[in-house]
Amino acid sequence: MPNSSKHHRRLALAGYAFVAPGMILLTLLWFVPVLGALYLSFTKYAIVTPPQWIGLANYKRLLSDELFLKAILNTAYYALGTIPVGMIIALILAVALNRNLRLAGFFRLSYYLPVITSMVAVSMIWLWIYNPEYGILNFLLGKIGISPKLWLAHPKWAMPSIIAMSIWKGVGKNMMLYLAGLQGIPDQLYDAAKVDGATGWKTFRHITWPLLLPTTFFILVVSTIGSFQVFEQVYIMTQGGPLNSTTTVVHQIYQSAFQFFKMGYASAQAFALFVLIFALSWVNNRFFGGTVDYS
Amino acid sequence: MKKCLRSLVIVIGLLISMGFGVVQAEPVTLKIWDMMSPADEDGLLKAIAAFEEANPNIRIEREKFPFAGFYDKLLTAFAGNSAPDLAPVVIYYIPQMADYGIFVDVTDDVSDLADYYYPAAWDMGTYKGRVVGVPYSMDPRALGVNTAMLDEAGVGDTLATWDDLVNAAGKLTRDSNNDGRTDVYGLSLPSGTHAWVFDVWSIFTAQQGKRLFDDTGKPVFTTTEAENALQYYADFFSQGATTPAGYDVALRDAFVQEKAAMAIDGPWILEEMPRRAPDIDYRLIPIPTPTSGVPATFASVGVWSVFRTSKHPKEAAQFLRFLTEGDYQKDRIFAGKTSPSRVAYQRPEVREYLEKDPRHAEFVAVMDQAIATPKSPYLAEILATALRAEMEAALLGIKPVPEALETAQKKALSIIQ
Repeated sequence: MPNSSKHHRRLALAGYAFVAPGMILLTLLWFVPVLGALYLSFTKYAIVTPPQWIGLANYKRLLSDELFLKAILNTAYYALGTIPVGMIIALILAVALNRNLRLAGFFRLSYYLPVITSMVAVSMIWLWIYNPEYGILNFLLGKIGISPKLWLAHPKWAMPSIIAMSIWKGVGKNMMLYLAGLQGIPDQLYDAAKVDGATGWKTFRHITWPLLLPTTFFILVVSTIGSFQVFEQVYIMTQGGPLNSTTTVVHQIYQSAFQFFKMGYASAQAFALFVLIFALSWVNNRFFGGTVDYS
Repeated sequence: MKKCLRSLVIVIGLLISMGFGVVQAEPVTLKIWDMMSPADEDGLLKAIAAFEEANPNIRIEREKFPFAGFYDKLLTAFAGNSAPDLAPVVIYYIPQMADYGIFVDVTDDVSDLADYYYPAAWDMGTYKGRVVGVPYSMDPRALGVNTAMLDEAGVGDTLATWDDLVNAAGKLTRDSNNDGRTDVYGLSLPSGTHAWVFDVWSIFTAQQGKRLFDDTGKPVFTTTEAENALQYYADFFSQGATTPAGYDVALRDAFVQEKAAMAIDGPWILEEMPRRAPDIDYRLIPIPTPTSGVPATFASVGVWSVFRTSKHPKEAAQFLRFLTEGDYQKDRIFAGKTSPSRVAYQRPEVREYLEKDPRHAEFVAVMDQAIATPKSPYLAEILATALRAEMEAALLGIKPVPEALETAQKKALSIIQ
């Protein structure tokens, strides 16, 4: 009926009008720069000279760039170190704090404070914690008879040191997400389990964990994306050393763009990172997303 | 009477037209961006005020930035066509930016000023034979020695050769609190990812008469002299005579806290020691040379450059000349900064100042033997991707020096190609 379609058209127009400002901003501030970067990845561009089309040369160079390949491995090491450990600790903390404990609010705040503290400030503090001569970590280890370690200056310890610091900083965020997930689980299920005589572990295994799977899946995907973009702590604490043991993909992108003035190559590296993260997200969704039951 | 009046009117008219005919200098505003430390800032502000007074049609607008990220901002401003007229540029940024044609060629405006400056400083402001910048800072390295610690260890006054240095470093390294761990080191040398590792290696190589880059900007890391230099450097680590890799991020800290009896450092030590360790008696001496070697040290140099996008390059070059010929360098020296200007050091009031500050005079004494950053536009990339890890491996004893340098040379050449 003509009036009905006119009405629908009006409604649709109103809808488009409401989303237009956001879409325009998204287009201008995201789509256009991303397309621009894609174009630049096929050029030799030093920011101060016009881009020069070189086709796939940047991508070919990526395949033989040993340092970039090392950066990918380092980033994967970082991700494998931070994600599972961080999630397990966050879950334990969330379960522990999901009670009517005294000072529960204080503990939640304490664990969340590092999340909202600037990574730059946190990195500077941890530089001192890890200081081989004056750092508190070596001081405490010395009290129990362990000799001091060159935490950030030894290729074996540098990345684990950064991983530990990152877990400490990020665990609060995942803890809050898990808390939200836990509070979404109906109490009746726990009451019923109690009536049936279920122990704490059985309750966790058969009720809590399955119902937390959507939250777990979300945290896994977001943490994977975030961990592959690690940069600030590397830049501040180790500059990619020692012996390139902590250089990461984003650190390499930064160096190519702002230290070597190779914007075209940096754009190609950035798109390689995009493809990598996309592939990992697809794998996550394929292998873990299927186990999530949102009902 | 009428004739008189007519003549008077004509004369007045001529005088007025002469007044209107005089070309008024067009007002010009120069934009300067810089990242100067407070000590350097005062001299610059005075120079700006004096320049504006001497050139009433030129006004200078100055904007200060923190050092970190300054060159990123400059680059992006240049790309966005909003770069300043002038900015200070330092170390490897100079050849890198010059290679991209970012700077104005000011050869015709300032080439006669070469004799004002030490050769290494002036040379740093030239690229492929053209002048692209006028030096404003020069920070040579010398060896700081804690006199009390040397006396206590029985190390004599003579620290002239490489052997003297290694022997002294060994004698000065000790376990001061008898807990079974060395906690005082003879020498504090840069290691790991510290930017000065390359500088110190350059010094040891130059002291044998060779450089790490040739005149065309090609790396030459595999000469006997370069290998000897890096091996000498690595020996301090293998013998435990220097603060271990990763001991501390800032070398000077070890010297200030008397955890190291000697340290290779630049003029920043002149500002920091009175503030952080006024009770430490120390002196500065030239870095020891190998037997039958040549005196050499490294100096980081900064230059003022005019950007290609400047709408007033002539006025900007005029400012560069003013900085050279005026009191700018004298004011910097009085603020405790070392100067690239040999002429400034010859001024009577500056000579008088140096008599009262013998440590500053020691840095001046080594200016003529200083080498500056190699003028390769690929230096930043070579350092980060080809050299750093190999130097680290050699200094940590993980890789033999010749193998590390061979690998670095291959990687560096592939970057240039």
